[in-house]
Amino acid sequence: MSEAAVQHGIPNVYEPSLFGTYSKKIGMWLFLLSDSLTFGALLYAYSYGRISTPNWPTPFHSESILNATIMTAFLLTSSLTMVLAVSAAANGKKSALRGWLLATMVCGLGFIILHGREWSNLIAEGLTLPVFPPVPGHEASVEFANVSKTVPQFPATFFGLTGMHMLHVTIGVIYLGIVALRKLFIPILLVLWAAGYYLIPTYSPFHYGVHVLLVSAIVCGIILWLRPKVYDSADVEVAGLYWHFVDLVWMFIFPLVYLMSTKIV
Amino acid sequence: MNDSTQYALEERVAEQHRHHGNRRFFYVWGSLLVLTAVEVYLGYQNMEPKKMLTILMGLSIIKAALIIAYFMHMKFEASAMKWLTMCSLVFCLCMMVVFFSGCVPFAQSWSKCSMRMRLFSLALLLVFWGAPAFAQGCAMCYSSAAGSTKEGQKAISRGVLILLTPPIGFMTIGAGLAVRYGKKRDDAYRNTDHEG
Repeated sequence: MSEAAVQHGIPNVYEPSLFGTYSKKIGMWLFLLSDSLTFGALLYAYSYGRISTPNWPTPFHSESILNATIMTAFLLTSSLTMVLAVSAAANGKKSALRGWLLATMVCGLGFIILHGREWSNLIAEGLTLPVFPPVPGHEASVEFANVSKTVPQFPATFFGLTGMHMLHVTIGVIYLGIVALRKLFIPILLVLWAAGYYLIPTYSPFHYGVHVLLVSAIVCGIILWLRPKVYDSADVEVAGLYWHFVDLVWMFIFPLVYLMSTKIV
Repeated sequence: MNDSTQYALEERVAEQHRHHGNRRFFYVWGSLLVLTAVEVYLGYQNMEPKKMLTILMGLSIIKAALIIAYFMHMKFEASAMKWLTMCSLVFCLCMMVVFFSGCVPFAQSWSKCSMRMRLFSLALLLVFWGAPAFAQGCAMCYSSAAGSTKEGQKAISRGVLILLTPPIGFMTIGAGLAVRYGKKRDDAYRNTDHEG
């Protein structure tokens, strides 16, 4: 509709935006507000469980806390590289833009790998959900097996909350990949999907979780086919908003899930 | 919004970046890392869970504010954008306290109130939340609807009703299922008590 107005050259047909910015940015903010309510509800529920359950387990040893701290540092650094990418895009520096976007993706990927490794270790040690198949050749530790039996809401909320966040980070990395590399990124996604599906053992939840990459490749392919375009600085800024939101949510998950359940020797 | 307006807005963003430089982002990043280190240190202190939750959430809110203000550029947005988005977010999150009052230390007194009181407050908040809708006064939409033919106006009215049906339908089904589940659970508890 607005394109029609522009084509006809009618000036001031539409009122200037109340928010003094372009519509896709407002759209992304609205999405982020709704998504923050989803995470808000999950975090409130987790806090409720944490405070109201007297025998809430504190299973995270210093290795887990160190791992989560490094993950936090990865995300914070990725936010810095993202804001530098937005700055490069605003100043028209294309090569710097691509470099900073790729750096952000590398940090995001580092976060996902560390998180995946931690999930796998916890599952192998016995902190698991009934839907996860047992890990062959691994003896579950008594401590974690007891946690899964006596306080089942702990693994349920832990995997629910961190899994939801991990999904958001994965989608964020894919989003940035599409903005940085456009259709070149789709074959990369497909290769990653195939490699993940065939290399990750079938008892791991990531063997099935890797299908997110296939679905994303199909969706992104359709979007790029329907509306091929060169992404401008506004698109980079909007992608940056999403990425910073993912970082922001982790700022609440990290203390709530990990630091509130630290094993103090 | 036409192209020239969009270019002007993009130019404003670029100008903000040029004006403030990238050094500020490094300071924010450093502050966030320091705050994270403080949180990790606190995690190893043997504190009462409620006290620890309050302190950690306080620090997280400071970190979130830094990210929103500088990394997400909210500090440099128009005041209408700043106020509307942030007030909506805080308001909606505060509304959750009505249901999850037990987990927020300062709202513990809520748990002593009766459920009726809570539901009344929630209804009141929802009524207030609807108030801005009356002030929208989207002149263009209103005038274009008023300027259309009677059939057109009827079509708009029907469209509103049709669009209203799915969300209300889903809400009704969801609420019905929740009430049914609640009744079933209460019956199960009662039966267990009798048996006990």
